[in-house]
Amino acid sequence: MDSVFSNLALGFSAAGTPTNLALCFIGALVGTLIGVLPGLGPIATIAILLPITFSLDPLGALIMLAGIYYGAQYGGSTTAILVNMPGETSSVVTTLDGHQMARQGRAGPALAIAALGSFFAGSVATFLVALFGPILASFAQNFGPPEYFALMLTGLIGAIVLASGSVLKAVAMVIVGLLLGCVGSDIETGEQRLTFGIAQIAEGINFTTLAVGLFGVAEILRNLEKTQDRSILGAKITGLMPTWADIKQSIMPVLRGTGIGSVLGILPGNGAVLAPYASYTLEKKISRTPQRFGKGAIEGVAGPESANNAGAQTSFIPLLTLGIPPNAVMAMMVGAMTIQGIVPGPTVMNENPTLFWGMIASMWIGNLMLVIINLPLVGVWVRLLKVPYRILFPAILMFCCIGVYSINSSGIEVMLVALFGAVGYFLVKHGFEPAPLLLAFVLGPLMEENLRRSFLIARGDPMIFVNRPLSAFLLLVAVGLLILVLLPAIRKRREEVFHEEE
Amino acid sequence: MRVRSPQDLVGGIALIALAALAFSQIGDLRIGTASRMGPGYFPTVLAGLTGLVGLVLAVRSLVLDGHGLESLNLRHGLPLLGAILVFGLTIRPLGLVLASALLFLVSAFASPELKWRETLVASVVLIGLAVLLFVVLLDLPFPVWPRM
Repeated sequence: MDSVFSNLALGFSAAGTPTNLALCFIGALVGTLIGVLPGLGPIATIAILLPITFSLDPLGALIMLAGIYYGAQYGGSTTAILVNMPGETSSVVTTLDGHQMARQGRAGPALAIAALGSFFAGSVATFLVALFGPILASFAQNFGPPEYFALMLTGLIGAIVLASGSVLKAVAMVIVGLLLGCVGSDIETGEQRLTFGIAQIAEGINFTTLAVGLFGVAEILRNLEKTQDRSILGAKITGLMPTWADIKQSIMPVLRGTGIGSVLGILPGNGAVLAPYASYTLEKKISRTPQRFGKGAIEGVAGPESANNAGAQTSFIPLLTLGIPPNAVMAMMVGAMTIQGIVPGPTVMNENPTLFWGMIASMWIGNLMLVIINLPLVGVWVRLLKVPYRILFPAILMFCCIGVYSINSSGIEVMLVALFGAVGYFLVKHGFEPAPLLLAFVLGPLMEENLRRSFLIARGDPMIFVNRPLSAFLLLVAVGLLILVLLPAIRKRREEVFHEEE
Repeated sequence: MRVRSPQDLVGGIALIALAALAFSQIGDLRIGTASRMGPGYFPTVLAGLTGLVGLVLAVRSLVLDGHGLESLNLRHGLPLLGAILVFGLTIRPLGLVLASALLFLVSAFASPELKWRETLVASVVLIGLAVLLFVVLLDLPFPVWPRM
């Protein structure tokens, strides 16, 4: 326990320098700025902003990214409450009661409770990351190639289970993501694979290029075809602060949401996405006045928003300790870390404790920045939401292009964005969800490496995955998940859950 | 025989086409054995699986009812993708300012309602911002103007 505090102190002294605080502040500001734009979810936001961190030192870059990440998340909630347009699945729940509150002229309290609840949840979850990170990391030292392979497989199956829409199509997305991950030179022999002779992808498809195309460009295209129905509330936002009664009503939902989110976030395979739903369902179920839900109940904002943030935070645990991203947003973080020359995994904590703990401290600072930035700036975001899309979209497009160009100073790289943008649009139009693809793309090379090593150890005997208890257990979990999602009863329920979203 | 889910049929065919494309590239990469996998092993398995899933999806679309095709939005899509391509092609010879200006020009055709004066003002301001942010503040190595 003592070591947790001394470690956190180390982290805060590293992250708390004026430069780093400024970076975190700027990150949270621009993250919110982009994230608040309707239709841009956190993945697209981070993809667009990733390049501005390239010229920084590793710790500074990661701190700024943490700011961008939380800003993007919170920006999504702001849009959900004010315009009823969720930028991502996890803020769908927020629109239910948050937007109703806004319609009743209580947008201020809704935004404030969302910020304060998220801050509380973020603080608790940061502490949990500090507490469990080292334990899990030392446990992970026993992991051999078969365990890593089994864990990643379980994560991908989890992503399939939690993807919305057809299971078969989610499977297809994972396989295509793995296939795209193969592009580039082979890890052992260095031979070129699937590169079509294009020099720019000889070292593999660039992660940012893929993400900007699949998410950024495809989302712009989708937004352009929606008729511009953004009748944002004309009414002035008065009375930002929640009343005492609001706060009293929110305390328990925030606590429960934090608990739910923290637990679900650690699970491999994007458990965090379930957190807001679970919290909302729970609050509605135990409420003495369930009929108020959907009509502007503040508990329906406080609980899910806290759960969302807690889950977002604890999903850093598998990334930092095992080096395995549990969802597409964390896959973005892996991409960012790799660009900085850091390979996420159990060794980072021992080899570079300042970086590790600095990053954990920056999570808390990032959350604090949000409260500082968002409460006074709500008026600015409202005005930004009124800028017509015909001005916004070329601006977003330009930043995407400049950002991608800055990675390798390569014009071909920019043209690949157009290709992936077209692919992303095709996918969405045909009922494929691109998030599992991105996760599989990042995990692909790691999985191949661990699979090859496992088979090398076992001389080609696949029983190695079953004979080792830990990997056998993980594979059992994966099989269990797969059976679960294919059971007719659950399948029907799953369709209902995802249908409600639309 | 009737197609019950055109969306799935097109998706399935696209996957099969992708698998074929991948196989054509794998060519003579050594596959190796399970205990000593060559560079071709993993891609071959994945390309095979891609084709298989595509086939299942396509066949299923003849049996199970599903969604129809949504129309592709070429009216916005072509100028948008064109703008990116133009930027990629021109950034090297022409530099950041002119390439961005061309990007704004081409993407204006994707605009839901076009107002030239507004577009002009917005692009001048935004290009100025971009130069300030990426070249002055972040000090990234960009060609700003055409190379003489």
